[in-house]
Amino acid sequence: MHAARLAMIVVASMLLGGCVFPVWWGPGFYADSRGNIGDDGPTFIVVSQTTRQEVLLTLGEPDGEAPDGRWFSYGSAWTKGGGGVGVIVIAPAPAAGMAGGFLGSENVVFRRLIVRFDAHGTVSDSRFETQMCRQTSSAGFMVSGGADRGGASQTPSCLDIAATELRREQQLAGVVPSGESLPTYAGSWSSGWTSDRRRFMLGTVLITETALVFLPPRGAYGPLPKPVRIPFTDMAEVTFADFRTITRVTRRDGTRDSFLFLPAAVRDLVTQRARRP
Amino acid sequence: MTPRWPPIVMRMLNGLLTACMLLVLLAAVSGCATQTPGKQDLLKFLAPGATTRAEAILHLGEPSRSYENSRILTYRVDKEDNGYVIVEPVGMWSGVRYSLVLLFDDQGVLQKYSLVPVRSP
Repeated sequence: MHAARLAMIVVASMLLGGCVFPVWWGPGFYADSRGNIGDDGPTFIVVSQTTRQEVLLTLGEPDGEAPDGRWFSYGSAWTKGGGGVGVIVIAPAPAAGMAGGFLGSENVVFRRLIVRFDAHGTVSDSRFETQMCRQTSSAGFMVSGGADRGGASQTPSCLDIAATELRREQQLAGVVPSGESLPTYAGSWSSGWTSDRRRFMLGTVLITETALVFLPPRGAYGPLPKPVRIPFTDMAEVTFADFRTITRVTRRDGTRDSFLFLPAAVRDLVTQRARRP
Repeated sequence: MTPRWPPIVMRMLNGLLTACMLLVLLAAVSGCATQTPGKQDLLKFLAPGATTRAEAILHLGEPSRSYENSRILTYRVDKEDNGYVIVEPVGMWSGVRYSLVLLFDDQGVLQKYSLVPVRSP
């Protein structure tokens, strides 16, 4: 599949009179990866002895953390080097445009350290994991008539160095009361909610036994964003507008939240537009 | 959420960026150089047993994170030719070389600090 796509790009480019060029790179950490957790994990951490302060003073700010500080996650991604092929096609006037693409792969070593702390801030558990996997990436762009568009994709990493599942567990624990079963519905499409015109947040909607819950998107770095939970008992009226893409929930105290549901393709378009100045 | 380009693509773009930077360098040599904002003495005010949390925040600005009721503050720091510079906590560690960790006592006086190199040596 990989070779076939590569051959297709090269042949198509030559037919179009484009320029095909090789791209390669050596080993090293990803540009946005930290590099201070070692090949085998830090050796200074001793369960029941090392404190949160010592972990911070030695490893620095973590990549992920629980809102209550009960766990930290540190991750790194180190490539062994790789290569690929790039293509650029320039169309002369009157079309006057340019298009390009890239296809490449590399072997990447992912490392992840999860440190858990007890109520006194002492390490209660420390787990270091490492996995190597082959990552394939492709990208393309087109510029023509003053408009530009492009996209890129990469195979998902074999180790979740951002500790997304821990963050999701933490989020669920905060919105689903103990004793209540897990959400009866979890929307897989993109959704958003707005309390007023200045706030817009993408995320996932959950319907639990007792409430409607909006979770922030997966994969966000930094401190865990807070979910929005509206108990059914607080709702007085639910109305729809704009072909049901907007749902308005009025609470018993008269306050309202408007929820905007968008198909993923439209969501991406909206967020791209919103990002432009 | 800001979309993240795959690292492979970032490396390719970095190659193009390097070429552009060479052109910019040529322009700088011809009399158009820019000044980097780094300060050699940015962290020299830090004195365990003397510096207060308020002084730290006045010098360095808002911390990237705080822990244990602000007993521990962290900052992201990079090093330019002219010295250290505080980096806004956006995304992961691109453009950041150090994590500065400040540990204060219950009175808000600096107990100890650590400038942790987060990138590969």
